[in-house]
Amino acid sequence: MTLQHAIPMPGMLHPAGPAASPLASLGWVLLAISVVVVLVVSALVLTAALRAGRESTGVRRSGRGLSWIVVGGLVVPTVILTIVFVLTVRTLGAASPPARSAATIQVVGHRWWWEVRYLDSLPADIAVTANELHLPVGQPVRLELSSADVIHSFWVPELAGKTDLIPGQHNVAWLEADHPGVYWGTCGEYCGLEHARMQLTVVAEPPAAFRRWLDRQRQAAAAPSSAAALAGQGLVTEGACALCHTVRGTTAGGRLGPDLTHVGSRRLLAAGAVANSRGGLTAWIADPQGLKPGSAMPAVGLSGPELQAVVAYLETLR
Amino acid sequence: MSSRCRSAAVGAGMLALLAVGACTQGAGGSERPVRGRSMPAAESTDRAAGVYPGIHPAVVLGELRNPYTGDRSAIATGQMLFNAMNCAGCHSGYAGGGMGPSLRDSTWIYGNSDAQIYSTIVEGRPNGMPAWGAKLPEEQIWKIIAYLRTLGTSNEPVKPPKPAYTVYQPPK
Amino acid sequence: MENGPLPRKHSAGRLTTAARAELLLAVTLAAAACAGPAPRRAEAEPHRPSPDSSLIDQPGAPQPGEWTLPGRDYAGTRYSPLDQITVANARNLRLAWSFSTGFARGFEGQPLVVAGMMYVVTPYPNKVFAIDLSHPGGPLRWSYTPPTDPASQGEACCDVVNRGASYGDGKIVFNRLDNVTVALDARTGKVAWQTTLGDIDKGETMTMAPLIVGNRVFVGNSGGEMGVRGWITALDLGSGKVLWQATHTGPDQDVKIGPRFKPAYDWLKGKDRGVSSWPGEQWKIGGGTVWGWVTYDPELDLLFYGNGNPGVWNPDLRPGDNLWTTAIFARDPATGEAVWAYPTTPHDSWDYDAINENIPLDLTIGGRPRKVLLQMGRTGYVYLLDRQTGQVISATPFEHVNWSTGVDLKTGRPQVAKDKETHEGVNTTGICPAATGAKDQQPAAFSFRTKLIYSPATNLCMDYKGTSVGYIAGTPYVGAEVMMYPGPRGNRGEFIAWDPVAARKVWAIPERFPVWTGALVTGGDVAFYGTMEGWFKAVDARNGKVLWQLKTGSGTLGNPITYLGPDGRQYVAVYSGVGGWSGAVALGLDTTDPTGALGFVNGMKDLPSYSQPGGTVYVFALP
Repeated sequence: MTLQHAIPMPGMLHPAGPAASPLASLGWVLLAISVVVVLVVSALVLTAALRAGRESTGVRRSGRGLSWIVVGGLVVPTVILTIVFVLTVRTLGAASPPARSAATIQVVGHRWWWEVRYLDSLPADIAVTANELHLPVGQPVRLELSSADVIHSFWVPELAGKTDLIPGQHNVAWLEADHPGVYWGTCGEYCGLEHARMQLTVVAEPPAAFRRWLDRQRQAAAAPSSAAALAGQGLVTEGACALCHTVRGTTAGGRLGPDLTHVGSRRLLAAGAVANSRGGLTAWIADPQGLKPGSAMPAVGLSGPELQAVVAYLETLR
Repeated sequence: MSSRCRSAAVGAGMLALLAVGACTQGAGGSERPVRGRSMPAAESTDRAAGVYPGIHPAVVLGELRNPYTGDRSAIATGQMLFNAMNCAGCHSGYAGGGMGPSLRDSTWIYGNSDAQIYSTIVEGRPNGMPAWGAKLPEEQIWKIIAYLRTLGTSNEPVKPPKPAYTVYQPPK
Repeated sequence: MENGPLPRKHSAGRLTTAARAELLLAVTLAAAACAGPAPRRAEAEPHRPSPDSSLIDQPGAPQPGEWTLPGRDYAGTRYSPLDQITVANARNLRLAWSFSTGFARGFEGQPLVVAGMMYVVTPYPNKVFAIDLSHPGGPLRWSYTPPTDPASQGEACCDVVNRGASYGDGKIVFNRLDNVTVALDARTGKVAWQTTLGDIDKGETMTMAPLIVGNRVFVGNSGGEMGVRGWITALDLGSGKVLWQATHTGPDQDVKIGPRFKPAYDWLKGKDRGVSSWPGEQWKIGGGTVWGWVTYDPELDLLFYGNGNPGVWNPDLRPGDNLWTTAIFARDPATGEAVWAYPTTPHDSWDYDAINENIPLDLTIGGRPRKVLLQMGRTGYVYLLDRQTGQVISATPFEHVNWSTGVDLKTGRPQVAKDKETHEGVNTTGICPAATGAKDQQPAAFSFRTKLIYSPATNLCMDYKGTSVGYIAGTPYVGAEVMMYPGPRGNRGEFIAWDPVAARKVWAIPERFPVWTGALVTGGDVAFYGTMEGWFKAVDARNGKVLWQLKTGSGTLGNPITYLGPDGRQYVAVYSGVGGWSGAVALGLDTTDPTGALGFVNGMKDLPSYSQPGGTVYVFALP
């Protein structure tokens, strides 16, 4: 099964935000220093090897050898390491969460999907979604990370380094994007069979567009109008779907799987495993174990017309 | 035996073991429950003729067996489903009962064979047990039943907790 | 029947019709003669009986020998002026007769006695018995078996109890577990009307005792553990038609918050707080059910009641104050408009329903007469509210309380102890009182003579861990793993006398188990209560001395009443039948799961040794 993102590889070398650029810069500097050191040391070792080869017998004492050791083995490394240390500390400072953020997002890792919750001091303005995270361009967002089961790791390489999601613990990370776009995120800590298909779509958009998106996410599901969608809603709320999924505004209140209130507006499904198209949605519901074997989504056994109705309904949930 | 012969024999033996292992591994997870519509086979003539009281699922369900009995992974999933599907809401978090009866004890109002528990969950029962058949896939129901079988035994995946106090004493 | 209640005043057995009528007339005339000028409420010192019981005014109460409302009067004082049974002779009480209902589930609630008949409503299936008291042994005049849906048993969180009926306009009005309010003709047992008010598929049930005021019946629903949206409804007593219905979550229009609503505190003001204090659509499954007691003040023309927990027990699933749940409400009985509301635990995290009875009293507090409303709260506080405004006058702990350090009288909000908050995935230990509270629905009584409140009480603490739960309609919506255990000192219950003016416990009788019966107090200064083992006790209301006790067949959870039989003698009646939330373990739950029955199993593992199920009405009298 192929992955649905075009993954820029390697993402961390193309930083797109202030949480990631210091890390990338530090990475390049360390790489440069390491390359130089390796070259120098290799040259010295080669020289020593070649010279030793030409030596015949006898040991030659030389006082100059000691200064090589002291300078090359003590002074130079100390200087280099001190420089690296200072750079690292400055990088850590640059990459630390800023004091104020445009939004606080609670991310809870599940096997194998991301629960995303936009917090707000007014409880009625809390928005819940899954597997997709939006942020306003040029403004930092704060992430509060925890896990519902095992250790996962939040990793959007172009935007930040990894931060683990540990059950029973609350970690804090942050993201900021310099330019609008779609960024790819994934789980960075092996968490089971479908660890590779636990991906996160991060969308950076202008602040006004972000506000509109967030307002949309806060609303309950729109009531369906077409007959097929109405039938689909009945199947979703009265059937198996409601046991695991929530569609706010209906009686479906399950919490085992992702919130579907606005599933129609997401770019991908099943945490990046399936395209969010009519075909992808239909295939996913019809045979989830074929697309993402081992995931908690069972084949619910809908007939053809039932499946079409359910898909018609879910498509209206934008 | 020569060393080469010996190593060949050992190799063949290991291959044989692997083959056996693969066979038994495959059996556990993919076996489908056996269903039949036939009446039970004629009993031995020791039984008196007549019609017998009590629940006899074999009449309708045939020899329904749980394909996940003893399967540790299924039991763990069953425990997760027991909570997620809210069985724990009525029967309590460790199935000791609350609104619904205890599932840990040996009293089973509607029978304790695999088939009887399965049909109780699928069909519901008049005194308050909801019917899950239209909502829970068959596989998930069997996994829950596999979990129920471990209650009170050493195989119970999550043991009931102990409270922090026997009698609460406020701190000094 | 050697010990049968043969009336002493008459020879050879049965009363003739004429004699019965004469007796009734005599009693009525006597009662009429006793009704005098309005009482002097308040001032008299506590514990000293006022000289003339007959000057006590109990609006809504029937003749002294009858019991027609659950709490006997509109205020729910459960006080009876009958004084044949006194402190001196109570030790001679003995069983007069008993009546086995045939059902063995938890018997909460109380019988009614009116016009020589006793009316008993059983737990599911809510069968009604009309016992003819004028004949020895009380044969049935009629019985009524309603077609209560058996599936409703699967929606009742805390045993299939029923808390009784009300009598008015010749009708016995009660609620069926499957959400039908039924009015029966009291003489014939025929159905006068019945009104379906809820849906068990949504997890709704009805267990509370209706209150009849004038020609209106007030009822509420149950299901705060099932994701039900709570309401109170007024029905017309004559026809059963719905007059109005108010919810406790959602927009102001649904909660009937309008121009008359004047909350006492600023944090209660604002539009549609019943929506904005909830995330998303959680208010639609937000609890606030009315499964306890409704009382009424005719002077202010206000209905008082409290509502239950905000739905799911895991508080992290519903950030916000979750208005208007766990609140004491005052409403206009004619229109249902809310006049004030006081949420006792905004963003409740411990299941401290506020459904306990609210008794309107006129007391002298701080030197001046105040119109108060008194509630012995689940939270462990005795709330004294100004019943005109809903302002908290005082909140005094009557059992061990550590979830809060007190109620801030400026804001009315409890000061929650940080280490006793509950959260998902966190096991908070040693929270006192436990979820059942320092007192649950079992109602207190107030004596107009001693000026004391007589109250059952519970001394349990708990561990409480929030767990993840999804909402599946028709199934519980709880999300908490709870285990209860005895509180400090180890006795799990007590029966107390509380001085509402001095705000202190005057005396207490410790009990092994939580006291789950209501209280009764009489003009003879005798208070009655029962234990979960089944001991039914008469105590001296002035000092708590146990005067008499008798072990009934099963644990007692019901509320005792007293009445005059057609023979003119005073009788005391109580149900005996263990169950309910606290007694669930005696109905066959497994003690190896300490989280059973929402945590109660751990605290009551020994109960089955003391009480097995039963279902009998016990009636006692002097010889």
